[in-house]
Amino acid sequence: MSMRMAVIGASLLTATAATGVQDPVFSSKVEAVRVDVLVTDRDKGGVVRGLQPRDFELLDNGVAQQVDLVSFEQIPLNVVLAFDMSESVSGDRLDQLRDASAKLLDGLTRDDQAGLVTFTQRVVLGSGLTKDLDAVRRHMTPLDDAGDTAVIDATYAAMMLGESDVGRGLVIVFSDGVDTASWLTPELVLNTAKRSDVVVYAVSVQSRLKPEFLRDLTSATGGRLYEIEKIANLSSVFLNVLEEFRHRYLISYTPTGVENGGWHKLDVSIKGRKVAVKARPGYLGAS
Amino acid sequence: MALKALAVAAALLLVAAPAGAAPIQQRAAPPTEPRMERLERWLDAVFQHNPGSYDDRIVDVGKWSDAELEMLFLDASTVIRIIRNPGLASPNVGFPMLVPGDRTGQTSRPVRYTVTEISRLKQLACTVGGLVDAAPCEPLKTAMAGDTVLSSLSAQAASVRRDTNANFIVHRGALVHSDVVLFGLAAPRSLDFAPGRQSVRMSIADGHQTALTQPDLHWEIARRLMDLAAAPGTMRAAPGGDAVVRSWYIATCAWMQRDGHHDNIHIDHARELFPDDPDLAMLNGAHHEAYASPPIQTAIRSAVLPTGIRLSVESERAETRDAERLLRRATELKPDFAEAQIRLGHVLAVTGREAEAAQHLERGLGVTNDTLLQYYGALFLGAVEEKLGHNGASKASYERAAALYPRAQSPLLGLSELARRAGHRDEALRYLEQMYSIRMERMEDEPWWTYTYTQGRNADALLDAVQKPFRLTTGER
Repeated sequence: MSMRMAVIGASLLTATAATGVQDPVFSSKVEAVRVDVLVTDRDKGGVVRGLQPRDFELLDNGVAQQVDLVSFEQIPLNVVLAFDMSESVSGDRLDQLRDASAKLLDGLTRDDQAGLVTFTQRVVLGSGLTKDLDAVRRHMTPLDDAGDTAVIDATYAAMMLGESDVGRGLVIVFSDGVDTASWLTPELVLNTAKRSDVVVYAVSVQSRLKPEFLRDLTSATGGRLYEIEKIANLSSVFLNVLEEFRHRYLISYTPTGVENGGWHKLDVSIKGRKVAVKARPGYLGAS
Repeated sequence: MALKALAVAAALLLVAAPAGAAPIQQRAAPPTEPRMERLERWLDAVFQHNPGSYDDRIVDVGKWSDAELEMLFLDASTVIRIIRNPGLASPNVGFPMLVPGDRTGQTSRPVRYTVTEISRLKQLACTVGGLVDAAPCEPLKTAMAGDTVLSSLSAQAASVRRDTNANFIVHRGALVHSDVVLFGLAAPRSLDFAPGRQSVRMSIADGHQTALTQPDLHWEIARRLMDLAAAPGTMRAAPGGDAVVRSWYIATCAWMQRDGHHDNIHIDHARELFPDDPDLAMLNGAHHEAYASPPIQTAIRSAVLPTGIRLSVESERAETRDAERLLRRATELKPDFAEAQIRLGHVLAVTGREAEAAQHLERGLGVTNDTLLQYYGALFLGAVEEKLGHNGASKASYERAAALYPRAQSPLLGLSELARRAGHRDEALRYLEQMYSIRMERMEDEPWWTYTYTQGRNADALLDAVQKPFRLTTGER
């Protein structure tokens, strides 16, 4: 019995790792903390633009912090697609997934990078982070090993890929099932997410089972979970994700008055404005 | 069969709501052919089938309907009863034959044979039991003379008869029905939710229900036959003391688990008969581990079942509790049982008792050289040590697992996560890079994926060991 293998990625990942891995955001070596923040008008729903550092109020474990820098639509994206390629994603479903992905990739700028992680119970690097988006498209093929679903393992790998280069890490997970094969536990991967500044969005096809892990992960990273009825809606969902992510502020601050280690609860608000703010609820600091 | 195919699907036996259900026997349809002729064909298969081999006789038995199998069992057990009590063969002796009560609490009820059928049953018992010259059979001799069927069965039985208590029929009969299932020869059953059906089978793949089917009766018939096994030198059924029955249950339970044909009824009955057997305790514990695993729990939670079907799979917590209880029992019965120790360690780890888990994992690792068990032990210990905050020990354990199965991805994921948690992102990426470079060719390259199947990995050898003493020599065929 043979299992078609994707002979891929190792060199690509080596390249990306060698050319510019930024320092761990939450390690003891790095003092600055980055937080992706989506600010929308509470009444009209549109993205609120033009905010400055002084407009943000940020509490780290209840201690007000000085926001140093705010970026908006300036930092290139590292978009990592983590796609369930099990047997159930074939035929029309695969075509629609490819189509939706193509539209998403078309929406990237030339400074953005994309990567691809595909999975069944096996986790495969389809493409390391690259500006060659055709390479990503080419590797969007089903894995021929029928079997279970390791969405937790794959999400971990995707997050690691997303933070392997400078830029804002965005992971988009698509799965039509729940995890049945991962080695890593939800707790471990959520823990990794709380130490990372990658934002995870997930798209899950509705079923009787709630994708609890994806819900927790997207919540922990300040992303969003979409539960769609039909995969035909995938293109619009992917484009919404990209649009929303692009219009997030990336703010950074140097924590003061708080301990380094442990869980840091974050509260982000905008002074004097009726807006909705979406950001990660906190992070795990290096002890 | 390749493991890849096995690992992607499983089938669970679910129990139909038994309350007030009529026993299966009451539903017996009229036979499509004379029942005594079918009994004779079955006896022919019992004496002539070579266990573990494919032949026309098991193909024939595989075609029989549930009703025919039910009737066959009654008739076969009557023959066995007469052999064990030859006085019943006397022409003028009538005897009650009871349909035994079933597990739903139904009481026994009498079977009514015709005079012709009773006569034939006696003739068959005298013939295959080697009792033709016994006093109760003497009067039947005239009627039996010139009967080519009896003559043939007599010769066949004589060549395989090793006892006088009909165990040779019990054991060989059970092996016939086992082979019908093992060779996939059982006639397909349409789904039947009528009162009295005791179970349906749910097939799953990747955590989803894919089919509901009606299980065939061959395992049930085989179990009922094995239940008739008598202690050596006695005429009384005592299956719990029979070495063949024990080996048969271990082998068939292993086969069921290796191939994902999970069956509570089978393994629970095995444990009832052999409560102090460490192998069966381990297999039963592993069976509940499988029931607690994500693929089965997910499928159960999302299953759409008809009214009246009760799941025989409990919650993850309850299944894990059962697994722990049974695996503990296995380790009590056999403290150096490496697989039971390692599986118990895993169960304790997933329920948050890492310190105790580590003890059992280390105990298991210390008494085995089996590469697969070493891998599981090292992998689980890697996770346990991380939880205990022993990062160095965790890393060493994961590295040991990775060395044992260099193509497995789980140890590398564990090492990567461990490094990332410690803030060593470059190291974490290097482990992933190593994982991506793996050329995986077989499911066996990553034993974690088949953890809930591998307890049955020796099924073929175990089945062979059970079958071998019953294989026919050239002279017996």
